[in-house]
Amino acid sequence: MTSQDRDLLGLTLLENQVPPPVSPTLLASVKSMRPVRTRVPLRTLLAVAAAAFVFPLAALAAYPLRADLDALPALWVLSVAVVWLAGFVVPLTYAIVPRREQVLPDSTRAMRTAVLACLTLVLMGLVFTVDAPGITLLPRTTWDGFVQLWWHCMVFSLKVSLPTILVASFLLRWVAIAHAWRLGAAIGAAAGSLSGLTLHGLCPYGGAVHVGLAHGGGVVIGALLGALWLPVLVKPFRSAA
Amino acid sequence: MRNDRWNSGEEVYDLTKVESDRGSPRAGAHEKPAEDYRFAAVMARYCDGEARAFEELYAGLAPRILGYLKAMVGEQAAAEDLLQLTFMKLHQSRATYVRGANPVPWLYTIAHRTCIDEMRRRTRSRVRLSHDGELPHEPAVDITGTAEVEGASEDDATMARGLAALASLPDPLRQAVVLIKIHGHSSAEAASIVGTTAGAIKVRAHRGCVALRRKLQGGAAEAGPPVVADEATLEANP
Repeated sequence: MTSQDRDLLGLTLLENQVPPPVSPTLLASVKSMRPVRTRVPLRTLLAVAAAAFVFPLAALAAYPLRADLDALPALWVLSVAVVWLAGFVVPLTYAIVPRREQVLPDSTRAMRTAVLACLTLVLMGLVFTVDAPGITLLPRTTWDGFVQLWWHCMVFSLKVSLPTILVASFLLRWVAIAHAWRLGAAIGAAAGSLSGLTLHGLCPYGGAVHVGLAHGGGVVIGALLGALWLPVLVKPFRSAA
Repeated sequence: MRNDRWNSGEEVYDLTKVESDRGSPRAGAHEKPAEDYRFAAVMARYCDGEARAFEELYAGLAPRILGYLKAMVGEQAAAEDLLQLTFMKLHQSRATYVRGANPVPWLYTIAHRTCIDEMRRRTRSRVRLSHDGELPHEPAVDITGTAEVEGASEDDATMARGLAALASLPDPLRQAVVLIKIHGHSSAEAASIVGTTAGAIKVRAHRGCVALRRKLQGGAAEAGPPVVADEATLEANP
């Protein structure tokens, strides 16, 4: 064994450090502790999903379905709805449910699904939008007309995203201890996808640019909002700890 | 035996060894899986309000966590403070635990984040300067390996030299070496602790080992500055 190897070997002693005794404050907390109900990730997932569904369900109850629904190919309507739904379920699940035998969700995996959802749904809107000629309403081809409708659909997305992010930040306040922005991005993207799914059934306006940038854009804006706000919302809990 | 990893130069450079533990956490690195999963049961009892379970958890995991923190901050006293903070956070967030899960990577994550938060606090804290604007002199800390401590054991001196070499590594490489090579985490676990991908942390561990060996070949005494983790690089991702 060389002296270098012995030096390296010395690092293995780092695993066998003698810890100091438990601090009196911590010891007192431990002695007076009560049993706690541990986290069930599936329950958290359902709670966040329920919060996300409040506004879409209310909107579906309040507004009529899009007029051109019967004129559009059923297979296209269904397959696009499945993609929107997947954009909701997959990022949300990865942001909340940890890998097997782990305590914390995998933030890297969650962020990847958020990015994937954003790209897929925007591109799907831009490339695979189908209109029923003469029945589907198309936005005016002016800049003002586009922006007005874009903002209308974006507000809808925000109404879905904001409550979802708020509820998720409360439920994940002790879970989002590392890279909360990644989890926030996934949750925001999921909420944006759910709003996209709802708009797929409600929004009377078609056109690839409108669907791609307004409905798909809701996913991007949701992801950005989540990435910005979740860390801010959970920070007080981290500081308190 | 753990020492085998360091005895052979080949193994230090051998990426396949690192890759091999991806599928089966810890296989070949340490004989820890059963031990780690034993803590799942202990953690469950702790969540059920059993104070004795906390003592078991502390006795079993505090030495490892302290070793990790010491490698990251380089000071025994600071590492001990962070250890207390880590276990306090564990106590406060025990309701987050998922029954049946391995609590060890979670505890490492808490320790890692606590360490980063502490570094940020240190960066923001005021520093008292002397009249000439220079920092006041502080005595050298033995752990840097720059000074021999009188009466220190051979083990301490060996570890100090190793730590000094480790200190010269950039923080991401140091984290990877400590978590994978010293503490025997799988690359997937280490990646989740640090918040990066398994591939990235494997590369870092490999580069770290190569750099560490180079440093030691160049002389441990010239291994670099004291261990001071830089929060910006601690936070950094690939």
